[in-house]
Amino acid sequence: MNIAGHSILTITQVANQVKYTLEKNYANLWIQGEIASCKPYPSGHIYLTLKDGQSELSAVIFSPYAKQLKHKPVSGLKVTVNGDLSLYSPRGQFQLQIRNLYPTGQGELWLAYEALKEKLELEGLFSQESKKQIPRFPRRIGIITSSEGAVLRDIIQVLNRRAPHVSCLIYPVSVQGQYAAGEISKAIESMNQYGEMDTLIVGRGGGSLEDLWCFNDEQVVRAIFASHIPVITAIGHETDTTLSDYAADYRAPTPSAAAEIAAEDRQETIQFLDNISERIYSASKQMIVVHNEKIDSFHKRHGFFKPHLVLEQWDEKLNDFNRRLKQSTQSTFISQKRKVDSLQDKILLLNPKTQLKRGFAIATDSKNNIIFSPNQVKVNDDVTVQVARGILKTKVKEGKIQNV
Amino acid sequence: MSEKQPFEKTLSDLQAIIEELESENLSLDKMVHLFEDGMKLMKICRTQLDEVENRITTLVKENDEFSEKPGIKQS
Repeated sequence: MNIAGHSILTITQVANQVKYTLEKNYANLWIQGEIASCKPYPSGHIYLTLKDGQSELSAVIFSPYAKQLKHKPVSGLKVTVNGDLSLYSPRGQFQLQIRNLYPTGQGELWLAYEALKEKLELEGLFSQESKKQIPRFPRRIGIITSSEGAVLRDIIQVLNRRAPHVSCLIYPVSVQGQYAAGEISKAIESMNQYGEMDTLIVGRGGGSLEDLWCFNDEQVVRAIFASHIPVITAIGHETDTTLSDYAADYRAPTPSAAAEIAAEDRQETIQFLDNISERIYSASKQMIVVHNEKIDSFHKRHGFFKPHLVLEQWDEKLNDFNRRLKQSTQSTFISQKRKVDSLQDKILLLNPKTQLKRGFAIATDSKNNIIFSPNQVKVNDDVTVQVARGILKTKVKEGKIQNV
Repeated sequence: MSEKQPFEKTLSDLQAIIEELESENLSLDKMVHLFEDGMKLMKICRTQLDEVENRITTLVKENDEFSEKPGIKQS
């Protein structure tokens, strides 16, 4: 709306413009003050009033942030908060939307923490891709922690129970105080230099924020990231996440859990090996069965019987030949014999003696020549006449030629 | 296949052998080899697990040289 050169705004328009300006110019503030009042709502949001000597500021912690708070806000607590200014339009009231709240004194630490976290995150120190796999079956685990205290005891106890075959190399360090960060980072570097370890556990028991602070030290975080040996961290309680935890390859909630993750249970491993062994045996056995079946089926195959069959066939053939040979020789023999017999008959017929038996006679002269014609002899010549049963000595009385 | 190689590597070798053993079309000859290799690896693994020593040593650096002392030593 425009009246006499002035643009006239609705309330909502004003509110929106103010809201925009606030959010644009008053984002990500760090503010110090005292909590004047504090009211958690069933929705999970927490409404507070912050004040200093002269002024008050309404503030809200929305439930997602309220759930993540490490320190419970209570009235009277001096705090450093981090958040953005905005306008709550229904009541025309500007308020601080708090994301983080720390007791004063710690606020500065957290500011540094957040800044370092952001920087290292950008550098990729916390990226999932650079996480190394934790070996399940280490031979040797390096432990970087205090030589006193429950952490080392817990880790060794668990390893003793689960994986007595794994040996531990301890690098004792201070885990709090001004020298802690230097010692811890040097320990990580030395362990890497020394080598011969499959996994590193960097651990510390629970403690105050200040106690754990060395694990937010840039040097330590970088040493963990640079370690060639996979690093498991177990620092403080589960709710305290240090930058070291972000950089570690695995973050364990407790030292005992770190030890459990660091080494597979021996009994389970033995079981696993038994299972593998069983599989090798059964696979090999199966293979032998399959091959045996193959051999059996070859046995039954026609091809295997062929030589035998061929032999049989040949045997049969030979028998046949033999039979035929016998038959043919026999028949030849018989027919030859018949021929001989008939020839013999003929010969017998031709035998002069046979003729004699039939009453014929053979006449021969004195010189033993057979007489075929009366011309051969003269009257009174001696003629021998042979008959079937003997000879007759005769003399020619007369010769007469006859034409037969 | 050495006794020096990490347990994990030995295990993955074993796994590979099993997979090959369980595959089809394996010659008997190959099977026998795989079986023998598998048994060898198995023995290596078991030997490693049986070495119950749980040695605990502390890394000590003296004159820029590392050495291991038995037990837990204070820094």
